[in-house]
Amino acid sequence: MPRLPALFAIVLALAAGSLRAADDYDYDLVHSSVGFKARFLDISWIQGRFNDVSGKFSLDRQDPSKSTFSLTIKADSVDTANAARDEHLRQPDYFDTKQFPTIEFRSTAVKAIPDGYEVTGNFTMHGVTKPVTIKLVGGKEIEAMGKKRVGFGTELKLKRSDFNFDKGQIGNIGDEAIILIDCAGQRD
Amino acid sequence: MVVRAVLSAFAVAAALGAVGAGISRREPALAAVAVIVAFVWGVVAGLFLLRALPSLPPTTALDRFLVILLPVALAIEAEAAAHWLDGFWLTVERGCVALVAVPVLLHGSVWMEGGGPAAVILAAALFFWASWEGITGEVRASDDRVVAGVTVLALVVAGLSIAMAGWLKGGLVALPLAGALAGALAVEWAGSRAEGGSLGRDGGGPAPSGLPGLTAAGLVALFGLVVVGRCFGRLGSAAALLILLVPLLAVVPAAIGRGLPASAAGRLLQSASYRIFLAVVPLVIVLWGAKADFDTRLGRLLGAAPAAARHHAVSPRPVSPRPELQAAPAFEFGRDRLGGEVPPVERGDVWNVGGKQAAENDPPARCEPAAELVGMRPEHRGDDVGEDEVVGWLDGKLGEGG
Repeated sequence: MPRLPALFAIVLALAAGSLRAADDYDYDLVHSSVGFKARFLDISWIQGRFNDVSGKFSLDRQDPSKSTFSLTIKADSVDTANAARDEHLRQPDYFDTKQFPTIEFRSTAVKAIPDGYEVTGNFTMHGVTKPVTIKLVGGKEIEAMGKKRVGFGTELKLKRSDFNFDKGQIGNIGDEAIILIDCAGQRD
Repeated sequence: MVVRAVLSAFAVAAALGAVGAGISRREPALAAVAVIVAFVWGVVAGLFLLRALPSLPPTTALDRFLVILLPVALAIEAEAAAHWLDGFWLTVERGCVALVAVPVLLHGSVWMEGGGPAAVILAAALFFWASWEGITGEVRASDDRVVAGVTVLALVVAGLSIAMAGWLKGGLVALPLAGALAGALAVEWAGSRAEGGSLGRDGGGPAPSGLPGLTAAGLVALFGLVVVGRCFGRLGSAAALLILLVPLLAVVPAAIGRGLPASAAGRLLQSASYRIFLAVVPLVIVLWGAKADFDTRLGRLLGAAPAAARHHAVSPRPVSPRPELQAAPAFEFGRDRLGGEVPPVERGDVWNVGGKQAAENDPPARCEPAAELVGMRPEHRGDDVGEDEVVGWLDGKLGEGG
């Protein structure tokens, strides 16, 4: 009789394992990029990227609604190819990276669409969290360099003023920013 | 807009201070509270015109400084001016505020991860409490206006330094603070001249004055601003320390001078001009350093530098830890393009290698993409090429070129 609960637990664990259909991927920093661009004086674009990004994807191909996506960007890693401007962007007039060190996305709902996934989630930047829906294009898994790999790309348009950025600094650099995400995930 | 905000802060503080002091002329304690309240409204007016009013609830260090630290300190000074509490409890209140000031300002930031640097926080609290308590006590005893005056100057220099280091809003906020403080001090000074002593003085011994409260307001404003400027902006540690020492440089010599027997040295230490000189020297050093830093960094972004160093319009490349790759002219092409020496490039072309040589020697009508310049095999172009392979090709190319 005492063995029954242990047996039951083993069976339950095996059942849970067999039911689990999601594939978990780690963010592949080497083959991914998170960039952004914003209008400069409304005549050209200033582009930059974040060099320190991490994340996880869990893809359930049988039931996409059970898939999850998360991305964490270290705001301090902003890189616009100009050290003085990067330091300026880290200060409270812009990203305020000492106060708000990360930019995050956490999915809350996922549904499959013909060329990828439509992901709804919470986007947190500058201490403000807002729901956003993004279209992740991609999702085909291939095996290369000893790992299973999947990739997605998306663009996300947002207004800095919606995220409590200093309105006094919106002018030379436009309010609207476009986040460009091209990310690859990998698993063994 | 900035000048208008500063002048408005000065005018509102002075006007309300004069009205308040006039109404409560026979109540010196109320008159002293009135100039502190006038300072508050002067600050509000200045921040309003600067569009820099804090957000509620406060989420940033600057918000917490303006919404929590400064009002609490002013409330304590109003209590002190009105004699609502005795000296012991005021000292305790000031000590409590000093103890929590830095954690409140740094709340939720990377500085407070793991509880924050306890020793630094404690040292800052002790310094803040000692200077707040000591200087206001000295001012209360001596009716000395020099320290309040140099605090106004220190606020201006702190603000300009923070702004020139890249945090424009943080720096500009200091200016209405300084303007309002100057306005309230002007009224307090005018009132004391009219009454033949401190504001509201009715003759017959010391009477409550707004001067210690205003001096304390300046000290708290200076401390808060320097802490947020140091921790969230790019105000340097040395500059921060020099600015915080300025009020002490204005008050300590006077205290020493009074302790000395009547002598030329004692009179010199107490003289206002000598103490102002002592206080202004570090401020000039800080301002000079801030301007030099601005010229070499942000000034270039804002147009003070040649066009080639302004905003780049090319996609950035991650900085390679390898010196030979950092030397590769990744951005030279874009820079020259802004300078007008090279024809516009097509979006999507890669100019990571070869642009510099082409631009310097003979501006080409057509530039080859990087893949061809580095001799990348045609079968690999367009493939999902790993970084290791590209670095390998670059190594080979750089090696060939010597």
